[in-house]
Amino acid sequence: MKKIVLAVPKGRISNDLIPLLEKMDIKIENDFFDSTTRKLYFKTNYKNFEIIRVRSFDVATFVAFGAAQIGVAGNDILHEFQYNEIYSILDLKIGKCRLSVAKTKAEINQTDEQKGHILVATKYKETVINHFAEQGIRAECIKLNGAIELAPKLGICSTIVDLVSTGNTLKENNLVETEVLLNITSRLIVNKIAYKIMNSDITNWVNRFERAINE
Amino acid sequence: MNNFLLPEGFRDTLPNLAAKEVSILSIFCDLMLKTGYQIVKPSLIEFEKSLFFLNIDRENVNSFRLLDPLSQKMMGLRSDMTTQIARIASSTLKKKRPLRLSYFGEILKVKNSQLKISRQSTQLGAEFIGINDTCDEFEMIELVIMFLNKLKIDDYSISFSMPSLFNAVSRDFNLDKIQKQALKNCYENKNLSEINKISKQLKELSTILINSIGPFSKNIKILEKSNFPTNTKEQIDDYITSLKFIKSKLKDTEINIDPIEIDKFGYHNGILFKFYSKNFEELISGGKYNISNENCIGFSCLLENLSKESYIEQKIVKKIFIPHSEKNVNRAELIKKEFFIVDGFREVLGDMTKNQEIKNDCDYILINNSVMKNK
Repeated sequence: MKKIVLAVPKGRISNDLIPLLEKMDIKIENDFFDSTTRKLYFKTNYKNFEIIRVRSFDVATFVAFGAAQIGVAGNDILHEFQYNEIYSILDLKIGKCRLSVAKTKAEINQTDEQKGHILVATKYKETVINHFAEQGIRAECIKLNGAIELAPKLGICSTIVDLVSTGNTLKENNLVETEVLLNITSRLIVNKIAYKIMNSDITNWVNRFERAINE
Repeated sequence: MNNFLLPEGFRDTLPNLAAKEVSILSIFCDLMLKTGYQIVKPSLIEFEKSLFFLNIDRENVNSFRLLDPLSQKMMGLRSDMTTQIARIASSTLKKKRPLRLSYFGEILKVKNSQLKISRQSTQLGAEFIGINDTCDEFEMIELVIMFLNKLKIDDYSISFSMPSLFNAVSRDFNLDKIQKQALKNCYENKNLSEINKISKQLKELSTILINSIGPFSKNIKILEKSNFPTNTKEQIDDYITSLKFIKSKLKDTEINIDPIEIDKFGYHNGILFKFYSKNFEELISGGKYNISNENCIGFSCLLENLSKESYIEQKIVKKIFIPHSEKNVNRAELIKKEFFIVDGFREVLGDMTKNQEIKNDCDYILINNSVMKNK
């Protein structure tokens, strides 16, 4: 059996993923659960199955390069990067949220004539540009990596596109969710070449994930 | 900003790597000429109309464009040479059949993939125009294998797919445009969850196809044992016939099958093959296609990918180091004696290190115009 590396994202999805991995009888070494550890590479109770923990935006990149053969990434990230080297093979039904447009109340009341051009704060530049282009609007993106809701408050722009879970953060920052771009869940992604040349090993793990989801 | 900074995705190839790439090209040309694949060198620039004649959507091509001041027509810098070979074969050389051609040259892309930022590559490949049967198909695969062997790349696997199968399945289930796109997405991601909405039978058939992905020896039986509707069956039968013939010739080679791989080029109509290295790198790809009712097969690859995986080394046994201080060196005489000249740099007082490494790498040294063994 060849070694399989699973890339998992840091943060919220990681918490949803652990019960799923437990259902699959995967036991990760203790350091994985230690919030102070600087380790990024973790062993499991399976000799040929190891885990790397990286930023959610980097999971797809690691898998596309073949550094990890499989990974867990939200479809927001897959949509943003559109990697040709990846199969999005399974909906893990975890990490549910949505990618939404939110605006200040003043922006919502703008007339149509003023909407041919829009300034948007977001992490999802490509997704946003394509989405607004379909509506005939030229979106210019201000790339922020966090605290995106602050941008309208501080006068940087009036529109943001970001992940929304409960909507509370938007409300607290006087923003109104106006449009849902994508409904998001985490997907099991697989490197295309690995899927071809290590098919039986990878299919084995994909099937185990599938069984765990349906349990 | 440094004035000599190159645009993103462009680079100079410097010594050692450049030498390795030239060696690979030399091996390629030697093999092609010996195996009857005549070398052609298509033009770097063509008018848009001819350069993109194979592309259905002429707008959607990844090529630099420029305006010809003479004719006032738009021209394109090639981003793929295979269409140029097809043009030559169907125009200038249309009376010569069967036609075996090979080619190499620089290609430029406006944008490469997310992973590969390089916008400049050297493409090489071969095309066999006017093929008849599976023997002819195998000739191309054998040619690729010979080439890889010569490059000392022996740890690879081959994956075979059948891009025309997707259209056959779509025809068998009378899929409309939207359904066809949904099926394509499912096949592209090997994820059948959305197919149920179209048809239960389609999901059953697609599950068989997806389960057949994997090692040939184990999974070909899945295809052989299953029943398929008319159009799909025809394609599957062709696929199995080709694969069995190839496997009978390549008993020890790792062969994987993936019948539902979607063809990104969109013009392949028979088997498609891809050679992968164990480092998850695509080495060479190719396949069968049809131009003006002629069956053809070809392969193509990028020099950079081969260079990364190849272990060829230049066999230079008589390197001679010539210090910069050496005067009136008879270089022609040294070359006649089959020495490989390595020139020293001008030494600056206080920094004698720059020549040390290259000097240590030489077998001989020239001192006062006499060849001495380098200790």
